[in-house]
Amino acid sequence: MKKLLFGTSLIVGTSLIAVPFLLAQSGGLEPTDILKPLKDQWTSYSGDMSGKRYSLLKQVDTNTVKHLSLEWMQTGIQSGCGPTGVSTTPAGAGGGGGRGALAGPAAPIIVDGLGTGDANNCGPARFGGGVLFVNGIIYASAPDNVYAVDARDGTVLWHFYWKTRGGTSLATRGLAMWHNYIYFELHDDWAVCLDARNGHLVWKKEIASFDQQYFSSNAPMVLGNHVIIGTGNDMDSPAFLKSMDPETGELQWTVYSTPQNVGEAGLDTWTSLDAARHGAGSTWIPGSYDPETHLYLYGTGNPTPAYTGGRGDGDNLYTCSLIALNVDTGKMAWYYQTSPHDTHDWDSTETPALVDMPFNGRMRKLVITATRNGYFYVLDRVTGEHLLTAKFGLVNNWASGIDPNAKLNLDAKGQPKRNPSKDATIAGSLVNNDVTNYPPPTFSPDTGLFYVHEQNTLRVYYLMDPDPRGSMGLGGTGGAGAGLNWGTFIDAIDYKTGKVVWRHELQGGSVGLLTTAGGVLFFGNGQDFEALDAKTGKPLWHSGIGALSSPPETFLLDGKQHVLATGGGALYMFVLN
Amino acid sequence: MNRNLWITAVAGPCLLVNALLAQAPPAGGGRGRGGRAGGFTQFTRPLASQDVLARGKALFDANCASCHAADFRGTDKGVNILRSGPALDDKHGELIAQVLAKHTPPVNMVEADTVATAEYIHSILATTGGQGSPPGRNPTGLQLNVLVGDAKAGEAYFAAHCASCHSVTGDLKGLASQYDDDPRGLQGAWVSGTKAGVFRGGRGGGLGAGQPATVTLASGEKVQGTLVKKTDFLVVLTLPDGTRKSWARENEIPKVEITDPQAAHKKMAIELDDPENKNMHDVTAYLATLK
Repeated sequence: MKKLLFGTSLIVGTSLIAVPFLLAQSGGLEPTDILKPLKDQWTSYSGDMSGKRYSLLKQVDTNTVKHLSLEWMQTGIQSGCGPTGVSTTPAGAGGGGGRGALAGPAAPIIVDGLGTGDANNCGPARFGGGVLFVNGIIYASAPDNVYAVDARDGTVLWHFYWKTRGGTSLATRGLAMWHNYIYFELHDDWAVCLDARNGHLVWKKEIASFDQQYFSSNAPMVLGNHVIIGTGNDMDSPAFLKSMDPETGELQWTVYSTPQNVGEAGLDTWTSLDAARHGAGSTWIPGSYDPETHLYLYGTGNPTPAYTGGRGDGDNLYTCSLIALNVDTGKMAWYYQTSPHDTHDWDSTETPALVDMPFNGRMRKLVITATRNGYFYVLDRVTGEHLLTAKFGLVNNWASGIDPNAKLNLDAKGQPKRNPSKDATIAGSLVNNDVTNYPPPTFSPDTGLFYVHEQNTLRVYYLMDPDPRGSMGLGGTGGAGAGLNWGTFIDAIDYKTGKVVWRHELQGGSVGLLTTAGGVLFFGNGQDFEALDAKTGKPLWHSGIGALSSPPETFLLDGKQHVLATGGGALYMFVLN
Repeated sequence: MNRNLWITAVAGPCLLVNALLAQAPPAGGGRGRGGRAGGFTQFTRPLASQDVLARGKALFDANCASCHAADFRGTDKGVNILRSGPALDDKHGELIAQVLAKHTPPVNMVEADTVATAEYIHSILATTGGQGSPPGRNPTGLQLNVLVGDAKAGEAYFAAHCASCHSVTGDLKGLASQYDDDPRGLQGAWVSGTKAGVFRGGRGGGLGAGQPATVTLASGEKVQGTLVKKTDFLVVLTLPDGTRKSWARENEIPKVEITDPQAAHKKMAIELDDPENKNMHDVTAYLATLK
């Protein structure tokens, strides 16, 4: 049966029926463990379903963190290339699959994919986020590659290598797990399910058209009996979220980000059905999940064409929106558009944090997000009720004035009202760049602070393509754009007021943040892996391992809290001594 | 009108024809340009022969361009082919033939003509740039008037805000002649305070490396040099004699003061900002007169 709901095609049957052969998949990561608060294991992109990136572990605290030291590092993991995946590049400790930190045989390489291997790039693995830690094993990924690593000494156990057809090979957001299955998206638009015990392929499914320039770098999310898949696209192709059966990969439903047919809600916010269909709103960063309501809360990307005309003057729903979707039905429960009619390529895909905290005198089930446009939002995650909008950024002028303390220019829904003069114009518009981006934020219930990286630049945006039909994708802007940089920071934002309580300067961009019940905030700072006091922002500890390539993670191994970092093609495992 | 198809029903004149795309298709592989291009099948697969492409272009111009436009971007009568799913997924005319079979009004082509038309479409799609930039983007022949400001008002603004540091008969004499035919370059240069008008520091970069800096030690001693690195735990300078000197930092001691060469222009940019960009456009119009 096929049912259409605001661009939703729903195939009922597999999603609501218990998988009959769960017993065959006993062991590995139990589904109940996926729903536990972040503590002993790291079981999904954010560690747990809340998106808070807040660990309950507290062995490492503001006093003991200075004793955190390197237990092992694994520098020999290579991205596969060629027909067999065996790199010809000399590696520090192994060949194509990587060899363990200790001497031993090279890890087996499991090869699949539709390419020849010529389009794959050899070299140190470019580890992305969503590194899993389950039952003593680390499951890490780089574009087109998945690795299982012994968490006790860094030995690579197996290496899955995908011969890609090419395409937009950005960083991967990582992996998902369910029982003994590992799920991964390939940039040339397939999803694979691997046997966690040996890396062998269980199933593979095409998830988008490679020829339409989709690129699939998102981390899958396992929500109940659903594997949620999202993709990216810069070619105006329809954006969507898919749900697949975890056992078979069969499609359960597809939800489009924009109206695809006459009669669908939101179509009146576009100039035409064709504009809506090609209006994007890509789904390239994982969201968060509330197991009580079965709502998956995720953000959608910018509309296309990003900078030029061609999509009318409406809000362009449901791009740049926070969406609450029932994963069992594929129906949208509510939405909140954080950037109506975005004109700057400022996706709202940032992972939201789901928190249960008091707000205006009573406990609320909240969802908190800070988006690229430099605005911070608090909503009721069950109803979508808007509770707070605040601005962050030192030179954020696209909607309200550049003065951070100026009265915000908001509509009745609390949405920022863009100043059209700050769009890209032929004569040039002096406007801020994106104030934050996809690197995940963190929220600590202990401090009540939401931590997010902030970047502060002004530049001149030029419209180079005044064709009233609009450009495509990210085309149509450019030219000499003078830039002025006020620096990059971690902001600690009071969720009740939206005020920045403290701001800590960074020496480079962020790859994502982590807080713990020990009161520590971990992050990458230029060439340092660093820890701050989460309450005050005071620097506590650092290790000069170089720039991180993915957000830091923490978990419990053999009774000791460990902290994992990646960077420069290496894994770094820290432990308290 | 069935908008499920990328080719729609009614023939008529296109709204805008991009002359760039009316030219011969690229002879090479048509590999995309720009940020994320490369590796896509549409960009890399071999193109048909020039004879086939020329025939396809003629067929397209005769049968399709009136609704879909010669530059493929579409009109109010026909959708944009550059982002058409069937056109992008098509290999050698098989999907485009399916679309044509249902097309209203009918398009009667023999198979060889359909294939030629499809190959021509692919040759244009192959010129699509990174991140979906369309062929013919940022056309050089298009006149975009950047100098929309009031030069007189800009002169007054300059006198009030810039003249304390700059002189139009001194350091800025003949400024505009350095940016002949490039008012965007001129505007970028004066706003940023850098000759090239380039973007400094990136979107997420740290500040200060390569800039003059003063390190004040706990003892009160001051050391000057060029900043190599400053973190929460370390500061490194290159001293005037070329040697490298580093100090551990704790609780922001030693104190590090960096001379930001853009400080004045950052202050200016904040003052310059107005909802309509009027001040910026006015000053650019004025500076453009400094030949």
